[in-house]
Amino acid sequence: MQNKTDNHHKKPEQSQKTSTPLEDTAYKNKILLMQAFGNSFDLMFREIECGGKAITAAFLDGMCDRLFLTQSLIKPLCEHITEEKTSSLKQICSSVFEGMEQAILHTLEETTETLIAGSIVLFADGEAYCAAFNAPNFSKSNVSDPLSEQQEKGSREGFCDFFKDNITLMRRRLRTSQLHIERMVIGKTSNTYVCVCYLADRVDNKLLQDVKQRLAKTNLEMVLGAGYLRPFLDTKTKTPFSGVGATERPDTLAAMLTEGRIGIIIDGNPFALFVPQFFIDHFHSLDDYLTRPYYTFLLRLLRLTGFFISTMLPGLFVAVCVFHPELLPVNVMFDIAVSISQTPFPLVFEAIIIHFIYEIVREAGLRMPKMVGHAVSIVGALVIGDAAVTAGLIAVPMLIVVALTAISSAILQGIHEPMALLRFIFIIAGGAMGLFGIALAAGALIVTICSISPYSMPYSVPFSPTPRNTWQDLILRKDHTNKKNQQKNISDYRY
Amino acid sequence: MKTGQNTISSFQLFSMIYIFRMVATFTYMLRIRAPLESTDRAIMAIAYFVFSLLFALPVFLCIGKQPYNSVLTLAGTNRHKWTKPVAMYYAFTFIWAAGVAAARFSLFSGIVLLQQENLNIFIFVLLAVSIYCASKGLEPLARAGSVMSVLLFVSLILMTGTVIKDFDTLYLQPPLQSGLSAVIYQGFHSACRNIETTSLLFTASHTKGNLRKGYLIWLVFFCVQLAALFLLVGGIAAEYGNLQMFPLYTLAALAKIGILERMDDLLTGVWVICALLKIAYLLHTSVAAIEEGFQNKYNRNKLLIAGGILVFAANLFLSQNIEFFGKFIASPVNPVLFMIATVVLPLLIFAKNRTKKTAVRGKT
Repeated sequence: MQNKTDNHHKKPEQSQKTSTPLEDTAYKNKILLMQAFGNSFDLMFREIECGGKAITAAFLDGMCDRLFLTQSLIKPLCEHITEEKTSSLKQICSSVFEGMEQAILHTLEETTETLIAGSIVLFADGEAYCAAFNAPNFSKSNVSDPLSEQQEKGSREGFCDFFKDNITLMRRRLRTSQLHIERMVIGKTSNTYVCVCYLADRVDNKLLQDVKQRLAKTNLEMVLGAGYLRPFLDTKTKTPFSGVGATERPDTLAAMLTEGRIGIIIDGNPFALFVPQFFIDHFHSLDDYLTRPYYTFLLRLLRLTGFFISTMLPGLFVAVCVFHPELLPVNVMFDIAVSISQTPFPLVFEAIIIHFIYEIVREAGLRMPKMVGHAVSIVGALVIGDAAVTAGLIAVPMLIVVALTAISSAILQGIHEPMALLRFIFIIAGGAMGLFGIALAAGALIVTICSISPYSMPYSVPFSPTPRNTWQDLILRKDHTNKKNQQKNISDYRY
Repeated sequence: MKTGQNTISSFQLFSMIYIFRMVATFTYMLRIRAPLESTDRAIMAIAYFVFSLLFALPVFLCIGKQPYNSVLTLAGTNRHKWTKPVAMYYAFTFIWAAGVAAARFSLFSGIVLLQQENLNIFIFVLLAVSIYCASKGLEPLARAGSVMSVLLFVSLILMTGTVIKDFDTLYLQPPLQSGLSAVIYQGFHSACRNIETTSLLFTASHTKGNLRKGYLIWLVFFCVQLAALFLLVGGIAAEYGNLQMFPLYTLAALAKIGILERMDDLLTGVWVICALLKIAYLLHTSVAAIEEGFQNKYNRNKLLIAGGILVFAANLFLSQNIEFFGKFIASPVNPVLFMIATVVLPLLIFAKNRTKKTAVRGKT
C-alpha cells in the first residue's frame, strides 16, 4: 500500500498563508469550499453514501478528467464499500485506490490549491482531512510547430502553454537523470508554476543559486508571460540588450542546458527563458548544427551582416548622402541626388518618418487578426511603396533602404527590439554628424555591449574576451567529429 | 592570479594600447615636426622602440614585484602626505594627454573629415560619448579595445593591400638623410607621447597575465608596423606624402576597392572609434588616480564629467590653430610632464619602497 505524494501537492514556498484546518464532516467542508470559491458555478460536488458514511467528491468543472472521476473514483468506491465496510477514508483510499497518485490534505488552503491544479478531492464524515487525486484534464494548446523560430531541418515540436507538456518535451531530448527540474510558484494572485531546469553535472552552482534567489525575490502580483520575469533575471536592465534569452524550441533549450545554462519554463507560456544569454547567441541557430559547416559559415555571416544592415544602413545612407557623397561612384551619386532633390523633406526627417511608419505597419501586422493583417500589409505596401513615391513624398533610394532594413531585421527576430531602437539613434547620429556621428554611435554601442556581464559572464564573449576553443563555434563551426567542438561550458567564461 | 570583475587580460590591455598608439600615428602631423625624410621616419621607429623600452623600465621596476598594487598604493602605503599631490599630478597628466589627443583629432577632423562644420560641437559630442564609455569602467573599454584592434588591423591590411601595387623603392630616400640626431630627436619626442606606458602604473593592478612579455610583444609589433607604414607612405606617395599634413591619412585616401573609390572615410570611421576609446581610457585612468589618491572620496561620474570639461578646455586651448598646436607640441612641456610621470615619480616611489623594506628587514 502506498500513498504517493506528488510534487504537485506540495505546499509551495511562496504561499505561506494562514492555514484553516478542514472540518470533520463532509457537509461542513463543502460549505468551506463554497465560501472559499465564492459559490463559483464551476465548483462541483458528487455525493456518495456508502455504508452510512457520506463521502463527497469535489472538483472544478473543466479542470479535471470527468471520466476518471466516474470510472476510477466513484465506481470502485461504490463497489468496494458494498463488499467490505471500512471505517476511515485513509484506509479506503489505500485499499481501493492502491497505486494511484493521491495525497492526504489537512488544510483548506492546500485543498483549494489542489483543486485549482485539476485534482479531485474526497471528504468523508468524521474525517478532518481529504484525499486528493491528481486528474488534471483541461483544454490547452497542443505541441505544434514553433511559430517564431522556424527551422529548416530541425524538429517540428515547439513549446506549448502547459508546463508539464514542456517538461516532457525536455525530458525526451535530455534522457538523463542529471536533468533536474525544480518547481516554484510565483505571483501572489496568479500562483504561476515556474520550473527551473538545468543539468546538474554541467551547471555552475553560483549561477544556479543566483537565479533561484532572483526568482524567489520576485514580488509580482501575476506572471502572465516570460516578460514578467525577465527584469528580475536580468543583471543589467538599463541597456537595450538583455542577458536573458527566450526560446520556443525545446531542442534549443536542451542545447543551452547542455552548455551549462539554466532554463526557466513558465506555465501558460510557450516561451522558455534561459540564462545567461550572450550577444553571439542571436546569430546562432539550431539549423547551423544541422547543416554542413561551410554553409553554417555563410549563414552566420549573413546574420551578422543583417544586424549591421538593420541597425546602421539607414543612418549610413543618410550620413553618406548628406555629408560624404564622394564615397559613392559618380553615376550612383547623381541618381540618388536627383531622386532626393525631388522630395520635400530633409533626408534625416524622411528617414525617421518612414522608419516610424514601418514600425507602425509591423506592429499592426502583428496585432491585427490574420485576415485583416494581410490587408494592412497591402495598404502599407501601396501607401508607402507606391503612392508616397508617386506623390514625390519619399525618394526611391530611401524606400530601397527601408525594404532592405526590414528584410534584414526579419533574420534576427530575437534582437528586434534593440535593433529598432538603435536604427533611430544611428539615423539621428548620421544625419547630425555624418560618418563621424555613425562612428561615435558605433563606438558607444560596442562599449555598451562589452559592458554587459550577465551573471559575471561577459555578454560580448567570444568576441572579447576569447576563451580557448571558442573560435571554433563563433562564425566558423567545426565539424561534429571534432572533439574540441563537443564540450563547451559557459562556466568557463565566468570571471 | 587576478580574477573578478574589472579585471582584464594583458592581451586586452595591449590590444587597447595598440589602437591608442595607432590613433596617434594616424594623426601624426608631418609639417609641425622637424621634417624627416620618408625612410628616416621608418628608422625613427627603432629610436622609438629604444626610448619606449627605456621609459618603461622605471614603470616596471615600480610595479614589477607588486603587480597587485597600483603606483599610489605603493607610494602611500601609510597614506603619505605626498599621495594626494602625486594622484593629482597623474590625473592632470592623463587629462592633459586626453586634451592633446582631442585637439589632435579636432585638427585632423577639421582638415580631412568635416571641413565645413563647427568642430567644437563635434569634439563636445565626442567627449560626452567618451565620458559615457569611461563610466562603464576599464573592463568594457578593454573588451571593446580588443575587438577594435582586430578591426583596425584588418582595415590596415585592407588599405595596404589596395595600395601596395603602387609601391616603388625608387621613391624612397636614402637612409639617415635627415641626420641621425634628427631621427633620434623625433624618436624621443614620439616616445614621450606614449602616455599609455604611464597608465600601466594604474592598470597593471587590474591586469592578469605577463605584463612585461605583453609590453615587449606589443612594442615590437607596433614599431614594426610603424616602420612598415612609413615606408609604405614613402614608397607610394613619395614627395607628395611629405607635403601632406597627415601622411597616413594620405595613404588611406589613395586606397580604393571596386566601386568604393574613397575608402578614407570608412577607414576614418574605425579611427574615430579608436580615438573615442583612447580619450575614454585616459579619462578613466585620470579618475582612477583621483579615486585612489583620495580613497574614493568623490563621486566617480562627477569626476568624469569634471575631467571631460577639462579635456574640452584643453582641446579649445590647443586646437586654436595648427601653428599654435605645432609649436606647443614641439615645446618641452609634454616631454617634461611625461618624464616626471613615467620616469621620475616611479623611480622615487621604487626607491622609497626599497628603503622602507631595507629598514624593516634591518629591524627584524
